[in-house]
Amino acid sequence: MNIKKSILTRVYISFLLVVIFGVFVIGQIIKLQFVEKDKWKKLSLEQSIRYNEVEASRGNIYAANGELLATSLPRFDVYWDSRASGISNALFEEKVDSLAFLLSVHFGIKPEQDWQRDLRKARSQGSRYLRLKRNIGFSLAKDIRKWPIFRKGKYKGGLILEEKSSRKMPYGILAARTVGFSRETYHVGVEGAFDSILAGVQGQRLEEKMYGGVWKPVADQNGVDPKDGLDVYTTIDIELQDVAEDALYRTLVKNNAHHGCVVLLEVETGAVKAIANLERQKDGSYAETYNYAIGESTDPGSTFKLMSFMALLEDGKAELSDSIDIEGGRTKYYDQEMVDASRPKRQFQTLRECFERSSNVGTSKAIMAAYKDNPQAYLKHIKNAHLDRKLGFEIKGESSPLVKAPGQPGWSGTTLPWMSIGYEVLLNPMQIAAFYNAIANDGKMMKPYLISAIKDAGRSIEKFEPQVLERAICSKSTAKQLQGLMEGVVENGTATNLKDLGLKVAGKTGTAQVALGSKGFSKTSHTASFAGYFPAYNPKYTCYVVVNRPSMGVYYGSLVAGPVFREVADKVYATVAYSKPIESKEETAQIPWVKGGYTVEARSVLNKMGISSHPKQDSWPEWGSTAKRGLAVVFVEKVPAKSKVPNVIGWGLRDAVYILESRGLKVRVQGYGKVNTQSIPSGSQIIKGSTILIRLKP
Amino acid sequence: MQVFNKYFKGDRLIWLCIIFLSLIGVAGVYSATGSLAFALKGGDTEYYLLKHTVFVVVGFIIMYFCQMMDYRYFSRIAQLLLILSFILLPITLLLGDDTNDATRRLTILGISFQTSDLAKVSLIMYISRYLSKKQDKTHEFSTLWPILACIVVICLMIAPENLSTALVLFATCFLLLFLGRINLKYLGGLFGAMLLAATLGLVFLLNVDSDGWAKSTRIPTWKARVERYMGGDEGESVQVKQAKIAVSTGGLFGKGPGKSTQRVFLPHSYSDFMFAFLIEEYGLIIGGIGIMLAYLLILFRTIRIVIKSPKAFGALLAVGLGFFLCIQAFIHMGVSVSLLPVTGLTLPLVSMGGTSIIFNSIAFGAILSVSRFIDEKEGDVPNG
Repeated sequence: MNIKKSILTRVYISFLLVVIFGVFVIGQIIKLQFVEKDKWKKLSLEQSIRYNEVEASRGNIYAANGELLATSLPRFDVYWDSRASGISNALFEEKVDSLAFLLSVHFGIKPEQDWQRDLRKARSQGSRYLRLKRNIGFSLAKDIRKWPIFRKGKYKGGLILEEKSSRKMPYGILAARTVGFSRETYHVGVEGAFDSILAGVQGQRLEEKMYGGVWKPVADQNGVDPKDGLDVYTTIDIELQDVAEDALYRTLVKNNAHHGCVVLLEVETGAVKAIANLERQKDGSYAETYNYAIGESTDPGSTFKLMSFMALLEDGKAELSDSIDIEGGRTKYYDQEMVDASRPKRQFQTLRECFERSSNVGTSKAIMAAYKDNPQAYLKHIKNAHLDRKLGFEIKGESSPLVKAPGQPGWSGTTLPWMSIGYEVLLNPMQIAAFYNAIANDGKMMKPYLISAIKDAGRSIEKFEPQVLERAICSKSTAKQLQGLMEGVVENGTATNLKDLGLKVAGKTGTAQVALGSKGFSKTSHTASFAGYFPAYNPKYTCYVVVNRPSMGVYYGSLVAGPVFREVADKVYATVAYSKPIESKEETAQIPWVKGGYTVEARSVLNKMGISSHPKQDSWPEWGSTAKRGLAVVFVEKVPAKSKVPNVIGWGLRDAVYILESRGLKVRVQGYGKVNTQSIPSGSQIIKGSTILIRLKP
Repeated sequence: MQVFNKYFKGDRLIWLCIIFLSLIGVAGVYSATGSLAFALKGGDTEYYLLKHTVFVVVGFIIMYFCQMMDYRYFSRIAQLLLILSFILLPITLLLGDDTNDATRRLTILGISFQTSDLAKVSLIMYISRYLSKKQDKTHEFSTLWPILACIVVICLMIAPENLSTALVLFATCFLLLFLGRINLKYLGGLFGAMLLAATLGLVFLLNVDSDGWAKSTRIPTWKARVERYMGGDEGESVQVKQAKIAVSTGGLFGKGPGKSTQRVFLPHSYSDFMFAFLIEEYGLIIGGIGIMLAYLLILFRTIRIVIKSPKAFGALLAVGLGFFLCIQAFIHMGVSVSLLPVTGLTLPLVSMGGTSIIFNSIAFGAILSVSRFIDEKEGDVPNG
């Protein structure tokens, strides 16, 4: 048994070694528990690490054509760990002056000597989290990594970049209220309504408390990466939005009105192509501060007569050729007198003329004749047209409509005649637009919608299809008759000022007195409105315009709201709906005009199109402007010194905003298209934080 | 006890130790995974408990079947498993799943497992087989070099993605060669070569540029760990600091099951730092000395097998696997109490570790199988 003995000896020796190691382990535990007890106890009490949340980057909001309505630009806070492992004393001494120089040039704040003094102080004190600068842009953050000392890398060079983001609306005020914002307790517009989708999911990471009470991230495998928010695609057409907002603005200024709004819907789908709200501010300017289009229910006034005529025609209670005694434009229901806005020319008018000339007396008499004994039959049509309840619009703040009914408080003998001409009923602009849209759509009511898709970095997550709200609010023949009436309003009624040989439009004016709560209606405050669609012969878009409290003596719907409608219609006519491509008979290749900006993207597009592109200099510039050269596109380097304002004329908006922001400027934007002018000329010294205004033109 | 004796054959003391370790492991994993469950499973704290329990139960079933087997089959099984390891290790290096930056796992038929776990157990078993067959020629170099080549190749295939496992495995194999009566002259030379290689490796690590060619490998991680370990208190990592706090504040009797405060701060308290965590909850007496004694008892009982085993294979198999498990456990303890630099070694049977539990169970099962064989041969089990 020599073998066994020999093996056993060796096993015992090995076992002994394991036991000895075990004794060391126990010894170490005892040392930690008894000898160093106080040290670790103290550390555990002032626990110096924590899990902290990491913000997910918020999703973008896009217009229909893919333009950005709201985006998050990355910003960085810069810190420095002076005791990072890669910084030897020799390296520090050798490079500290050049680092201080770069810091003073790019960060400003203080002169080079002060920077150097602070860096030295931080190192001698062993600071592991010295704040260098907050809120720097993406491209500067990229450059910093190449600076002396920092270039040794994240852990060795001690450079700590903490990413965060700031929300930017590249189009500024455009649709601002509809794009909205989302704060702790206050959620507005798309940002508010889709907050959970846009926000993404926060991650978490381990952080260690450093000297001076600041927290530094630590590499750790229990950390969870944040999940970025999804992008929301709206139906907003940025060009139409701009036209609508601009036309509304000018009208509000001209009439010194309190506020106004424009809603533009696509007839077939109900997609909201533009939604503009402007309100006069204390200083006299106008701003998007409240979403009147969905949030304010008012007496619609004469535009509601379309509803009354729909009821009459649908129930066969009257013919458009029926003659009605206008009574000189003045009649009485009980003790209340109803007056026509303009004195009628004849004593008798056909029902058609009553609509075209917006006769209150004629309309209410026809309704009283038909529904006096059975108001419910009239109210049934309002219900069928979905006007007695909310539309269920995607964004928050939709106001409730109010439609009275017999037997309810507030219903009296005068309710029905006044309701027939648009009083004693409260509707918001989006509802009226949806109603007119349904008539233009031959009776089929589409649900207005603002969101077309939710995407994750271009990959579709959810798509929203148009929804039918009411299959038929009236028969097709009734709808056709009503369309004829609205054409008549423009051809020979109250809105002949909107007649134009180019594009035929149809619609109805509205001039309502502003309700003053319990005090009845104001004789001097009015709401001017126009609801209609275009083109008249083949309805594509519905537009509703309201101007509240114009104060320059003019208050008729046709004169105040009508021009806004006409302008929007003309713009759509000119650009979107009916522009035919220019037919080129020649076989020559078309070289597209390329916006200047980030050349990498432009090149890849050109490559896909099979158009040759080359740099003017030897190498490809990252940012550049473009020029046509024969059948190719040439890129010219266009990045001036970092401290100078770059020339962004001819650039696309996104690239211009990006590079200007990254240079520390605040950007204000007007118009749309490509940059046409910039308020600070290129080449001037940048003053950080100053505002540059760029005007865009298509 | 009657029931226990009926179903649990083999060395009952070893069985008791295994049950003790498994139970404390399940309780520990449940408590330690709280923050992980909140981070990854939306607060489903039972998720990891269930997962771990399932693996432990499956492990017991495997142990049970292994102990019922004639241990001599392990000789053949070792051969087959080793061939399988030679096939799977390179595949893992090339195609494995990435977790924690290390390509260590391979997914076959939907089951993801660490191929190095398979390789470790099969290599130890195979060395036992090899040495037992060569007991008459242990002094010849021709006995040493083929098995040494085999060990080196396996370790080299594990090393790129899991250096610490490879080093521990190599050390265990070296010990096994020593137990298997390989000529001390050769082993001395080998030891010298190892020291030289270790020195060269350290010099290389301290001078390699982490941002250069080595960037996409695990070399920067190794370098950082070694630098931190050598840097003293100054370079102490969060993990080490938190582990020390856990051990220190645990005291003699611990904070009590489920009462750890360090689990939130101590990364990998349920795996790589399980021992530190257990001392915090169960104290020095049970969590520290108790667990250590359980492993030492298992090892001690395998020595009893050496004394009683009539054949060299049974003796070497049992004692080889015993040392293999204990060395891993003791190195884990050394790391947990900061005697050794941070490595990714789990505490066998206790740490949450998925498939590693399965392979460790095979190892324990094999030890129990040998013990059952000698007990039955001695006839001291009446119903044997």
